[in-house]
Amino acid sequence: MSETPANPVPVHDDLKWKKVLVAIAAILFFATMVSIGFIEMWRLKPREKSALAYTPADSASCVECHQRLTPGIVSDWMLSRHSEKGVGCMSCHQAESNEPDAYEHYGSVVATVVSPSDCNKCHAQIGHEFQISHHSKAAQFIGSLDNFLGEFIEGRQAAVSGCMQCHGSAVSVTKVFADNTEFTQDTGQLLERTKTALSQAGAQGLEAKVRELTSGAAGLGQRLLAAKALPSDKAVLQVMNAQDYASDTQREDNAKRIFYGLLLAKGQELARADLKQAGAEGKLAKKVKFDSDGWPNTGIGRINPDLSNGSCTACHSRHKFQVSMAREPESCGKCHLGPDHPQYEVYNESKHGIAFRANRERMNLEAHPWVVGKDYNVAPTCATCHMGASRGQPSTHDVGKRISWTLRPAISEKLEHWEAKRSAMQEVCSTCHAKQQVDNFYRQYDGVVTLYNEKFAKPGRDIINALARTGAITPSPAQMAVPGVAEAVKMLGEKGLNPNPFDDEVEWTWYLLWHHEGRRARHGASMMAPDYTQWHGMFEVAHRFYFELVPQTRKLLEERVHEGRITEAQRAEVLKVIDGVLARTDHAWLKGLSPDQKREQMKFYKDRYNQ
Amino acid sequence: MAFLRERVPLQIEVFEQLAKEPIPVHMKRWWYALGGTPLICFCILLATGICLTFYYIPEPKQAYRSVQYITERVYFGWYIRSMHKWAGNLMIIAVLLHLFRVFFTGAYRRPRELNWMVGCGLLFTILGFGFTGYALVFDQLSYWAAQVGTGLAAKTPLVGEFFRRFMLGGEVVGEGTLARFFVFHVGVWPSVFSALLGIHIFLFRGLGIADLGAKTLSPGEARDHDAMLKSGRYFPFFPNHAMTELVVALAILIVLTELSIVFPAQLGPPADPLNTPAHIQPEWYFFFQFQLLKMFPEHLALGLQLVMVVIMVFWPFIDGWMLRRWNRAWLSPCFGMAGLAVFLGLTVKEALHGYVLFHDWWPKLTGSLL
Amino acid sequence: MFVTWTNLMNVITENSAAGTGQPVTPPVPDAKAGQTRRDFLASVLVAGTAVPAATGAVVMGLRYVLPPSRQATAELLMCRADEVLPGESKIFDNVLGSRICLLREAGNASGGEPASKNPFRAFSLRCSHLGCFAHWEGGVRKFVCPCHNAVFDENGQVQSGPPPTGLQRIAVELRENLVYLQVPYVQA
Repeated sequence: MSETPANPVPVHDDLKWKKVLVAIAAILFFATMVSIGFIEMWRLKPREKSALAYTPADSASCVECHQRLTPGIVSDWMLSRHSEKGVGCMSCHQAESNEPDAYEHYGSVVATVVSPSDCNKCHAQIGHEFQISHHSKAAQFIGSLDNFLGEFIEGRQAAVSGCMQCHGSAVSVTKVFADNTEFTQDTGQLLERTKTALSQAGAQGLEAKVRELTSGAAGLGQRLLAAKALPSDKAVLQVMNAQDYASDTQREDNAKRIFYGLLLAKGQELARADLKQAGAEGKLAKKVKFDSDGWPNTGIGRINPDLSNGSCTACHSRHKFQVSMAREPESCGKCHLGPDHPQYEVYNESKHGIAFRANRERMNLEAHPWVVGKDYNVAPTCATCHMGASRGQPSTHDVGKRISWTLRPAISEKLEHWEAKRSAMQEVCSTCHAKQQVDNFYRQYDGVVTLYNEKFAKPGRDIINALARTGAITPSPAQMAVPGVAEAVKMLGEKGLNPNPFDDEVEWTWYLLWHHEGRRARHGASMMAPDYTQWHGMFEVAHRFYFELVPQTRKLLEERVHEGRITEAQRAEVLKVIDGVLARTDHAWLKGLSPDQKREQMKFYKDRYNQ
Repeated sequence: MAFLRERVPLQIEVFEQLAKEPIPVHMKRWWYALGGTPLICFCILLATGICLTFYYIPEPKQAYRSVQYITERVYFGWYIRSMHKWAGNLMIIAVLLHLFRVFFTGAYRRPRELNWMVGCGLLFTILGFGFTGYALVFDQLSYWAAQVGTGLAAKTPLVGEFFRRFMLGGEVVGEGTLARFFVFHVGVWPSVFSALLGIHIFLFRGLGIADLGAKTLSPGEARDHDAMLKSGRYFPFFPNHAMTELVVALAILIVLTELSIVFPAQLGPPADPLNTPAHIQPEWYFFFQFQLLKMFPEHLALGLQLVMVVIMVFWPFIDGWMLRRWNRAWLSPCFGMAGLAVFLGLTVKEALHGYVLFHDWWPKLTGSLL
Repeated sequence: MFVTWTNLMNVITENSAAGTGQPVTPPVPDAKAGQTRRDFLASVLVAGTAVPAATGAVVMGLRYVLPPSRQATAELLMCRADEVLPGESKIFDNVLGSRICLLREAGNASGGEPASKNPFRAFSLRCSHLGCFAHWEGGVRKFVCPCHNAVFDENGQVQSGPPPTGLQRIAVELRENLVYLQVPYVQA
């Protein structure tokens, strides 16, 4: 064939080029495969181990439903360590039908409030430490000045949303049964009744519980049962012998533990009796209603329906229960802040706080264990010093274990066993600070507290007590034990006046002096915050003392004499107290000081307060 | 190979014949080589689809989770899934372009009318793939698209209720629906597609590629391969055209891979039968239909669609009749342009509707183009 | 395949012999001329790139079809130590796909055991023969599998019956009165 086509297309040449093209395309394709491979490697770069949440079988239906209804709760829980370890909803919320807040819920019996008794099932040691600590008693300040202030002077609602949200409420709960009958437990009253029962009948009827609680100390059980009245843990302590436990602290701790156990058991007994009386024993509630005065509440001393004290959620927020959150100063700062105890502000001002904020990412806050000096070094948080594990101590939830001064009352005092407690705290300090620094710091601290005590607090108290003794003011309940006040009260009663802690202006002045400014100064000194020690603290203490307390007292005395409520002699009595105070060396500046006198004063201060 | 020759009752020479099939020379142009795209896409879809069924679970509570598993956890899962999505989109685009090409070049004319109808069947099968496949993800858009689709089918007069219950596999969109859609997507449509494709290939191989500008060969001439190849107006299928197609295939793989990297397949929120999302739209290839439903009452819209389908399927015969009647070459393209304009217009209108109304067209573009 | 490759070679052969512009005949199976270096290189290039590309795709596909692995065990808190008295057992159903039996040694109930010793043992109850679940017979202190009457002793060892090995031992940790088990993941 030899026709020449119209368009001779070179067939085979372009085949070669096509092959080259195929090769190029194949290279490009290979390159994209490689890039896919790289993308995959980058995507699957090992991130921090994302723990899987394991839902135990009994909680599967809870999660399924609540994931739609309250997804925040479920996602919180899935981020928690509980879910990593298979601790699910029913592990904490399972309840028996007789429990005061138990109800039937889609085939299970649950209780909304998870009290420390529930947490203690697994976290027994922590629970014990918390129960013997001051935190657990935070809600039991009925009858205190603060309580009066909140509930009566301000108003109940202020107490509910203010005081009680930190201190804790009493959670009262009403069970509603299928037949629409109800049963209400007033938890606050139940607590009082329980305490009364223990005060009147001791541990009668609680033999099994006593045996369980005193299993480590032979003979103590019988002695407890023999005791007629057990109104408090002090009473339990009195029943103890030296042989019962190894040391004073152990005895005290165990006394608290035993008393608390008896309280719970007695409370349960009384609650059960109440149920029986109402014909509701063994009946399963279909739902519960919480008194809004008591719930929601995560106050650290909350009195739960089962009479247990406290709310672990206060620091370890549900449902993540992150330990890192509890270690943050903000957790403590929810309550430990403000004009009357600015620990959070003090910490923030201090170098400890500054170091913390500057080195936050090196704090290793999620670590287990979390030992200062080993797992982190850069800065302490509140938890570090007051609770945390150090090289020589395990961690504790008894927040008072390392506190030597109590800065709460008008006059600060050293606590029982303060030397041991101070040593414990100093052991933590020594992680970063040398001995002399620590010792000298404590001298400075003691100096401020003593200065405040001696120069302003005790004199102020003397003045106020003098006013109460003479009847110039209506005394507060705290003053009833002061000699002479009882007669004054009688005398006032004849005039139709009752004891009242806050009806006189000078009482407020005194309150502000010690409860607000005095505390600020002491807290500032305790944690190295100069501004709180000085300008928010002692400066205001001094001002309040010299230019409000003293003048107001003088003026009040004049008025009272004028009214005829007190005699001239009584007025003179009080004035003598004031003059006596102002005559002291440390108040002598009022009269003006010469250079010599100034030098003398400096020496005086150093000797007197630099202990 | 004597081993095979003895055992396989086929003549190797037959393959040689098939391999060297003469292709009209215009097919050397790269533009013309794109016709193989739907087949390439189908092969990709088949391979990635089989891979996806390794991990996909067609049960309402598991479906979304398994797709999430593929996308996030399985090695290269995101890539396989994204390739599947983009190959699917490209498939539909390529098939539509192929349809327009065949239409405007009149390649459906006698004797290829039947092939056109088979091609229409292939198109509907592919749309069926798209509809069922999209519903399998079981996110919000899937669920409600299935809801709307089955609801629409229910409106067909006489057989509507049957269609609805057949598609739903129950009373509402649920596990029956998912199981059926899965069966259709993985079993029924592939089988139908393969069968129709076989017929399609058989028909156009047998009838020959419609030769642009050249005279149609008689069957006898069409079998004389040597003469055809020598004439210079034809060239062999293998290896020449095969190489071309190979390059096209690799290019498509690369383009799809880039698309998969830059716009990977996403997952919307999981299906919530109690909550219809604010912006509900089907896949882009159903926008035209969606707009029709918005513009006309349902039965009218259904009727219109039915009429359009009939016209499209029987077009070769309608066209033949028109040519015989009026013999104007421009008539057919005019109809075609009109049809194209309507299709494009309504599609774009729906797309703009989504854009204008919701102002989040970019995530929607990448999210809803499953 | 063999034949068509020959065709390819012959096409290439034809190319070198043909020069340019001439119409060519379709390749004939037994033409034998050599190929140019360029053509050889072109073929090598194709093979050299196509093979890695194809291998890459195949490797990717193989990696894809193997499900991602997950960690082998999880440490789960199962119960408190005092929920299982000495000498008693506790069964945990459906823990990550396993059924587990926790045994506590009979011993002095009031803490006669040294504090450091862990009195707990745990076994997966899945029989190593064909996968039925055995159960614990507290009376005779043996595990019995009902499917083929296998008997395991209280240490999980096979005493009689068809099982090839004993019951899988599951690590138990006792921390602060809480029992933790290292449970293997058995199902996805």
